[in-house]
Amino acid sequence: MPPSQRKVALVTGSATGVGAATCRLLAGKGWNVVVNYSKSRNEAEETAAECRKLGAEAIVCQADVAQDADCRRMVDETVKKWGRIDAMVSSAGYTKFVHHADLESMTSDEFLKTLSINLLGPFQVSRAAVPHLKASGNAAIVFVSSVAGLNGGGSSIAYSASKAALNNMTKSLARVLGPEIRVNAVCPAFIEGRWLVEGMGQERYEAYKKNLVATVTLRHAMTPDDVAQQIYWFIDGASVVTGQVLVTDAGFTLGPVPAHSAAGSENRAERQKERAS
Amino acid sequence: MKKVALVTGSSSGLGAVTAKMLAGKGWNVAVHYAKGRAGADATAAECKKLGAEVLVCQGDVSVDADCRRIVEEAVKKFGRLDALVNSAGATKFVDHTDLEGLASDDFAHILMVNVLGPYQMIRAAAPHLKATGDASVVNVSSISGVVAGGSCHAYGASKAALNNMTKSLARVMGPEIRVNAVCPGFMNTPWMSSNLGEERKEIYRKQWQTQTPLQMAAEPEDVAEIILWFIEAAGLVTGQILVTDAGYTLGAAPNHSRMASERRAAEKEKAS
Repeated sequence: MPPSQRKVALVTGSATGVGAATCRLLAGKGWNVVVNYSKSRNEAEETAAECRKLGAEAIVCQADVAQDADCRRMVDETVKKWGRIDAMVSSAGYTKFVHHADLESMTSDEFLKTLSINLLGPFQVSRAAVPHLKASGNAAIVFVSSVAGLNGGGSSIAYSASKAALNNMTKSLARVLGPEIRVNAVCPAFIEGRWLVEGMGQERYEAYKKNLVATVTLRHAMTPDDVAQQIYWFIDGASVVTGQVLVTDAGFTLGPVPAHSAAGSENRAERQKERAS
Repeated sequence: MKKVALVTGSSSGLGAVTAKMLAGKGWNVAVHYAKGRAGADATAAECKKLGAEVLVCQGDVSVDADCRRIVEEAVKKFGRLDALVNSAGATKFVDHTDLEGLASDDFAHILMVNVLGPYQMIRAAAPHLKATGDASVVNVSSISGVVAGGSCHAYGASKAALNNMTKSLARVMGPEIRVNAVCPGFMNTPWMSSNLGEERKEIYRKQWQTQTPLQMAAEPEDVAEIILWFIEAAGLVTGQILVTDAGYTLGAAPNHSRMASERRAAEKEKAS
């Protein structure tokens, strides 16, 4: 069977959230997609159905990215179906919300599980997909990372460290996978949706979001669709860009305007007023 | 009503290509030059052919009065301003080891054009950009500002300062204005040809085509596309410095890791 005319993307963790939004966007842009899930079977089937409505062929593939055999099987199924892979988006991720100060609650098993899914997982999926991505000649890998990997923040110390490591691996993989494959990462901050609602609880989630929209530079709470747009650009548009970690956070990590600069301006205005009176 | 972009330093190179690309995407464009009048007129003519209304402005971005006049001329002509691309830049090619070769006046001039210039342009344009509600500033920086390389010490330092200012301005220009920077490396531009000479430029270009991870020496079009993306599409992105260098600053893959793999493969072969 000749390979599919449409380009093919494998998106891990695409039952919900950023992964699902990325699949829908790709489907609408003429791609076929592999919808991967580890546990959320029903949601993955829904995502695939939505992609088909948008004119794409879609398959649903269960796999735990922490298991190398699963990663290789998923890639094999993809290639068997369509004969090609042009993009791999690593969106599968794991965390357990643990207060950073509470070291004892971050068990070693939890720590390793977080690293296995968030770091070893993307490596294994990349390793399995690389021969097919190289064959495509103009392919892209996009890792969904997080601002937690830059500022040492996020849902747990292990999560934060896993994303920092992923950002680093974005560079080391990019070096050796060129020129056929570009490798980049996006670092979102707060994203609306199930992941954070479940992690924080509905009430805290709402309070956090309200505060964020009032204070963040662009006064915007990101949606999965917003992040999918940035991912798509790395796949389809950024031809000179590889090994880059793009912060897509509406200005969150810029933090507030330095208070002493504002105080200095106010102080000068007051003194001028005094002098004038 | 068409959106309006002001592109400084658009008489040639990346600025010119960006102006043309914007024109092709339905923007009206203010073309700016300091000395390259003929180049600016050529850019303007091509933008017109692509259906844009065009204004050509002369000015020195290191002079505040010029910056304010340029912005006023643009707003007078078009009634709005939606994007500012700071592409005007200055440098002098001086070997980094030759400290005496870089005169203090040259150093100051480079800082004035590359750092103070964008600041003054943004300051003058800010009220008009804010008024559109969804505007964008893109600073053309350089990987020199990231890796402390480039044509001279002052150039690298000026681009590092520009990268920093991209962040501090982004904080206070939001939510109406996003401020970002691109950091290209080698680009196949007249600027490179005139500074390096055609022959050396070609050697340099070949190096990028063979030694960068993407095996690519960028044309200005490649980087202009990224500037357009910052302007038109990157709704979530502000205060960011995007390295657009085909992987050059990643450097080569670590040699000792390759040697170890080769040695293991040789041992395996011997054993079998």
